[in-house]
Amino acid sequence: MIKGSYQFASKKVDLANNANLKNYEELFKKTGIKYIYRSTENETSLTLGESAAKKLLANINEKVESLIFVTQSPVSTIPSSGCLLHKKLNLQNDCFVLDVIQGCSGFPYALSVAVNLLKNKQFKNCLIVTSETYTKYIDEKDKVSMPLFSDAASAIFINQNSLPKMHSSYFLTDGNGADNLCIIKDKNEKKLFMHGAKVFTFTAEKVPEATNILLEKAKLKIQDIKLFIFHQASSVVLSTIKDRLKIPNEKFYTNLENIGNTVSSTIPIALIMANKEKKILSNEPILIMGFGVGYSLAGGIFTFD
Amino acid sequence: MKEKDLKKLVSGAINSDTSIDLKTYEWDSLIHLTILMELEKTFPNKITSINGIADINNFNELKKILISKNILIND
Repeated sequence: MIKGSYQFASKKVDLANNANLKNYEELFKKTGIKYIYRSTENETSLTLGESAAKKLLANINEKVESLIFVTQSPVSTIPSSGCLLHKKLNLQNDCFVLDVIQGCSGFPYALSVAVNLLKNKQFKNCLIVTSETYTKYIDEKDKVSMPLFSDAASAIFINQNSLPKMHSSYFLTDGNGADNLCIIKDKNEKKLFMHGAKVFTFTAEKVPEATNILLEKAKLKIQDIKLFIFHQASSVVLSTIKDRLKIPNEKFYTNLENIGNTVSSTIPIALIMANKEKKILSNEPILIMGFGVGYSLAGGIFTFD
Repeated sequence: MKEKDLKKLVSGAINSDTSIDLKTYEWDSLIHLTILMELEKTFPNKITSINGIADINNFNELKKILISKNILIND
């Protein structure tokens, strides 16, 4: 089964009682989010990732042979954040380390790479760590992005005994959407800019199409999938996907109300929570899909042992 | 959909305490999203695929594009 852990940033924000948000009830209808987590000055994607990974590794008696660090809010690009995380976790030197910088689609990318590395017997195991601190780029008064994004990390460990079966995978990239969700410089400050309507129309069109491609590649139908875990973007995005694909409520996982949109961490956190809630059963197919910034989209149908 | 219904939908999305003139009003990102959501409810699978609909920030342009797609009937 899925071995994983997660770590939220320490500052929990109650959006209903936030002085910067007027008309919260109306906003909640679109976001579906009550609480977000914002990182403090001392918390970074590295410290959150380290914390999530150490919690998990405390219960694992194997040397980590490969590490994939998924973050789009890295503390360093030269050297790579993966190398810094490798050091913090005190991993062995003969270790494969890879950084994935794909935002909301990062985890399906990482899982696909990890499954193939292990399936080809290149390594015995893989630690996937996701960690994001988007809120560092978001002003507390930003009424579009502030009530959505949240800071958190996750860690998932897979080895030959727990290797998921990948029935199909699909990746889509459209760099024409790059300017619609990006970091801009405003008075020498880095700020997150999001054109909500454009990102929404991309998602509403491409996610259902990509889901059908994944199903077709795996020769499965909607009713064969036991659980759908889409990137927890916002409730308007999720309900549009659910309605368009006619996915029954009980098969459509959501957890963003008390967590927010944690970018690359939404899917692994949802996987860990769904697993604890016994919604992921052995050998039953699960569909995961991440999408957004880039534009980038990645998904796969997996069964977990 | 008729123009008066679209006006009602847009005014509801703007949800302003003060009276607004739809001929000159330019909406922000959140209102834009609300308008798209409401239109999507009435016309499932027909709105988000319209080329350029995510760029529109005023009533007249929205009206024009919806007429061109036969979603809005000219009164």
